[in-house]
Parts: sequence; structure tokens; C-alpha cells
Amino acid sequence: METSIYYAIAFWCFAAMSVIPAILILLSKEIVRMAFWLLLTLSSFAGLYVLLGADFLAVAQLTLYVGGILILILFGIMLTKRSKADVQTVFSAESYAAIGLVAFLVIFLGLIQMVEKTAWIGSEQLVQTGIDAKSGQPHYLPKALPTTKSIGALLMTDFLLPFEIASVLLLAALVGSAYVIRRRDVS
Amino acid sequence: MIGFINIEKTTLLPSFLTQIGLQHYLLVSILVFSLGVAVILTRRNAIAVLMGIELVLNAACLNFVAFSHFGKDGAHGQVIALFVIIIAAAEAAVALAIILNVYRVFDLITVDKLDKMRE
Repeated sequence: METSIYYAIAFWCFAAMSVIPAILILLSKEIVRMAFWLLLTLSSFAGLYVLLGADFLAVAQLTLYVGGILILILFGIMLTKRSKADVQTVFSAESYAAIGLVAFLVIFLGLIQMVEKTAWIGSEQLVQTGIDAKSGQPHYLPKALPTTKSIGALLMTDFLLPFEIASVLLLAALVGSAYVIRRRDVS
Repeated sequence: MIGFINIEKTTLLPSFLTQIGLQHYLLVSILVFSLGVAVILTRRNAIAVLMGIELVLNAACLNFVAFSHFGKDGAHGQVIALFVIIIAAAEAAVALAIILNVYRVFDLITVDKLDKMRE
């Protein structure tokens, strides 16, 4: 797939806005700050979905993740906030950072090796061809089609069973969390 | 204004920067996934662990959508990513209900201090 320079600029902006707040989530010391970095990460993931032609999924990501799950997390933070005096832990802060760094490096290096050594389907089209020699024009992306109709059709045909099971799962989660968090009046 | 700078005609930038392919999206997905695992492993607050879980799930979703774009199966990957988002919402609700209940009983949510099943 030949991409224009604007696509590349947009991609690197959204990629940086995804990865750098994720690093800051790992490094920050307060839970509310982590929640706001998570907000940035989730929003720039929606931008990446738009670049991949998934317009419905980008809006679903913003609505469900940012507008639903993140709000839920913020409510949880608000209801469980303790004072500044925290209890002592077994490990020191430096060893926690070292453990985090080791975990990150192990998984990252392992996965990047796998990605580099695999012959992906679309990768043979990634040849550096510069600009189009015949017309002298840069090659732009084909016009993206809206995906809402195809996602809706797939949900009703190929993915009907997971759709129904997801409905039951949401009902179970609703009833279960309401039951777990109910007020207990009896002693 | 951009045409005056004429960056489309440059070949000075390497193709890794200008030709965005499948590996670029997988690179972002891998980075966010490993950072999410590091957050899960090193945080003491249970809600911070939940944030790491959300990072991991988002990385998997991005993976699905990238393969849906570069592959041949149409919008299948996007539907799977939609189901991942739905399941993540249900899981976050249940996890927060459990965390709030634990906070009500034990008055703390540091995960390394929670070692009893009941008070």
C-alpha cells in the first residue's frame, strides 16, 4: 500500500500520542494522572482506527472506552481514594521500576522478533517506489468506504452467535455488579 | 503552503517513515501491549492494574483492526475488535464492583496487601 506523506504524518502523530502516554502511565506516581494519560492513549487509538479505515470502530472506541470505561475507572478512583500516607511495601520503588523495565523489554523484544521474521500478507506490497514515474503525482490512498453497513451485516450473519452471547454477557455483568455492590442493611 | 514546501517529492526520508504498512501498526500494538503488561506487574493500586489491562486489550484491538485492513477478510477484524471492546466494558464493570467491595471490607486496594479471602 503506497501511502502519502500526510498519511505518514498523521500516523506518526497518533502513534506517538498512543505510546508516550502509555509510557507516562508506567512512570507516573498518582492514579489520577494515570487516568488522564489513559484518556490520551485511548483517544489516539481512535485516530489510528480512522487511519485504518475503521470509522465505526473509531467512534465506538471513543464512545465505549473513553466515554464509558474511563468514566467508570474515574469513579472507582474517586470512591477509593486514600490519604497520602501509604503503607510500606516489601519492594523499594527502584526495584519496581527495574521489574517494569525488564517486563517491558522481555515482551517487547520477543514480540518484535516475531513480527520482523514473519512474511505478512500485505508486506510484499511495501516496496519503496518513490513517486509515480508516469504521472509524477504521489499515489494517494483509495477512498475509504464507510464500514457501518458491513459491520452491521456481519453482526447479523457471520457473528450472530457472539452477538447474542455478548448481550447475555452484558446482562450478566450488569446484574452481577449491581448485586456485588448492593448495600447490606442487616448486620 | 504545504505544496510550496513540496514534501511529497522528497526521497530523503527513508521508506520506514513515509510508507506506512502493517508492521508499523504492529509496532504500535506491541509497544502498548508490553507497556500494559509492565503496568500490570508493577502497580500496587488495583485500579492501576485495571488500567494496564485496558492498555493490553486496546493493543489487541489495534492488532485486529490492522489485520482487517491489510488482509482479505473484509470487516471481520473490526467486528472482533468491537466484541473485544464490549467484553472489556463488562469486565471493567465487574472488576470495579469487586474493587469497591474490597475497599469497603478491607479499607485498602493495594494488591500485595490483599492476601485473605475474608476478614
